[in-house]
Amino acid sequence: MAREKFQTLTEQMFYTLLCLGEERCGADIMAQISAVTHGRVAVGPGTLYALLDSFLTQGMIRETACRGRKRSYILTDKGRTALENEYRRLSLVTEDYRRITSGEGGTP
Amino acid sequence: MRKKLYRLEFFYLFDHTGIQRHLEEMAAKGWLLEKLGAFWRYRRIEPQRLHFAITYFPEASVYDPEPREGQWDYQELCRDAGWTHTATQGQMQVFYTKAESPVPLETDPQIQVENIHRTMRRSQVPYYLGMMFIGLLQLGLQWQLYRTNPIDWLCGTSGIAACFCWVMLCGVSLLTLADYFRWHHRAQAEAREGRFTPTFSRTWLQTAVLALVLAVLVLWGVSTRGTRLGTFSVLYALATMVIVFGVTIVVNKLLKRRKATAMANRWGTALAAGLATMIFMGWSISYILNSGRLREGHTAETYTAYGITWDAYDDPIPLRIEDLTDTDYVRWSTKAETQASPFMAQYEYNQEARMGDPDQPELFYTVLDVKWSFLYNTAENAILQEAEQYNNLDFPEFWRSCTPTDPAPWGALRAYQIRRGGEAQDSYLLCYENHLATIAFYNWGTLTQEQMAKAGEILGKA
Repeated sequence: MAREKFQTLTEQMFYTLLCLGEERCGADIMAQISAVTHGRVAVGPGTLYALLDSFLTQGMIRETACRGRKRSYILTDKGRTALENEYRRLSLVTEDYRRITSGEGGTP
Repeated sequence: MRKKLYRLEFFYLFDHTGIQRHLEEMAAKGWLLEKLGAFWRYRRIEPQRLHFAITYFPEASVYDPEPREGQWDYQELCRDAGWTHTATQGQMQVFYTKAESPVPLETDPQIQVENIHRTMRRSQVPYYLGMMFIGLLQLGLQWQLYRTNPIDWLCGTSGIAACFCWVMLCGVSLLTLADYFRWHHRAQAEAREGRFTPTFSRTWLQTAVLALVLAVLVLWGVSTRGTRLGTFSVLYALATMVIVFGVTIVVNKLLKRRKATAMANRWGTALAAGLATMIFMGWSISYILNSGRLREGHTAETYTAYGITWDAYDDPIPLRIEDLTDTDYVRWSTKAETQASPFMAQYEYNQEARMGDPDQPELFYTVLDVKWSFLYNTAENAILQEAEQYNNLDFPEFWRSCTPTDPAPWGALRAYQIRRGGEAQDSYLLCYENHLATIAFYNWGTLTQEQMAKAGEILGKA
């Protein structure tokens, strides 16, 4: 079955949306992601540009301000829902892992 | 020490890996890319280690008056991440950074592959498909010209040169598209696994093809130096290319300066180039018709008869009327024209009396030197068919035909005589070992065996 766009989020998508829980501009998003993940996840400016463009088109974020060339964005309700759905999915995955490796749900 | 360097670079548009590596090598030698175009311009810097990144903006175009809104935002984001923008042309943008371990511009392979594919689909794929379509049309045209008159086509170098160039261009276009789609297919699969796929170019091949095409064009030019029309054709082709290229660049820049939209620029440039080509073609045709400078042959003098000025030629010809018969007439006009290629050479000769003088015998003959034996039958059949090609435009009682005749008087291997409405004409096709000759006698009376033998002796050695 074809996967619908943003049905599951890549790490870069997830952390970008996560950072847009507050109003932020592009440079802040890149810095925040690196800080939150302790450098584990890096989003390049080219990739971030494409992600922001897609999220805007899908209505998952909206532009809040434009100072010179610096544009700021924030999550919309649709974006928040997508983020929460992904969190729930990851939680289920984490729970399944915990249950099976601890022997509660049968041997792996 | 020079401060600027111009280079012709042969990278595929999608070959970001190769371009990046090349620019890093240039920076290490002390050259930083400054401007993209037909030639890439570099400026002198201290040799240093720089990291480069190539990105693509699918919606951009070489016809844009200035970078699009999104491109400015993109460059701002890159600047925030420590990347400096150095050059843009159309959809391609080049950035560099001095940082030792920079965060790459692209960190998601799927997004990168999709971006490159959108870029290629909008520009390069239609361009190369268009080139192949035009190339196939041109090759079809050359095939049609060959079928219509194989001897003229094989004796001329322009058709052969055109075929070679279009085959090369079609081949390069096909290879470029094949290389791209092969990379795209592999890159898509790798991107799903989270891996980037390096790109490549065949720079050596494109350089070789360009060198070969230029060499063929030069050879074509040299081969036509013996004929005025041939030389004019070469100069005309070169001038047309310069005009189209020059007008395209000038009008494109002018419209960009005036902030015309990309669509207006595209159409304006195309119209200007088309108009310039048509004006130049009109001037060239007018020049050919009015100047008379392209008439072949060495005009010995001009004379007037029936109120019209005529040219009298004085070219040396191998077989003359005086070799075959006694005549007191001396005001002959003798004309010789040559057309040659690596495949065949055609020598056309005629000896005529001047207009207005009393009727004199006249001689028209052609020698066709076939340089490759496998083309001999093609040449012979073409001449035989040419004799009959206009029958469908004439009444049946005037139809022409070629009938075999005795070759012995001519010293030939085979001989054919032209008949018109069944009546034999003093017009023959003679087949020798490596060449053919056609000969027509006018106002001749009865052609004798001695005259055939003498003509055959000279034409057989020509």
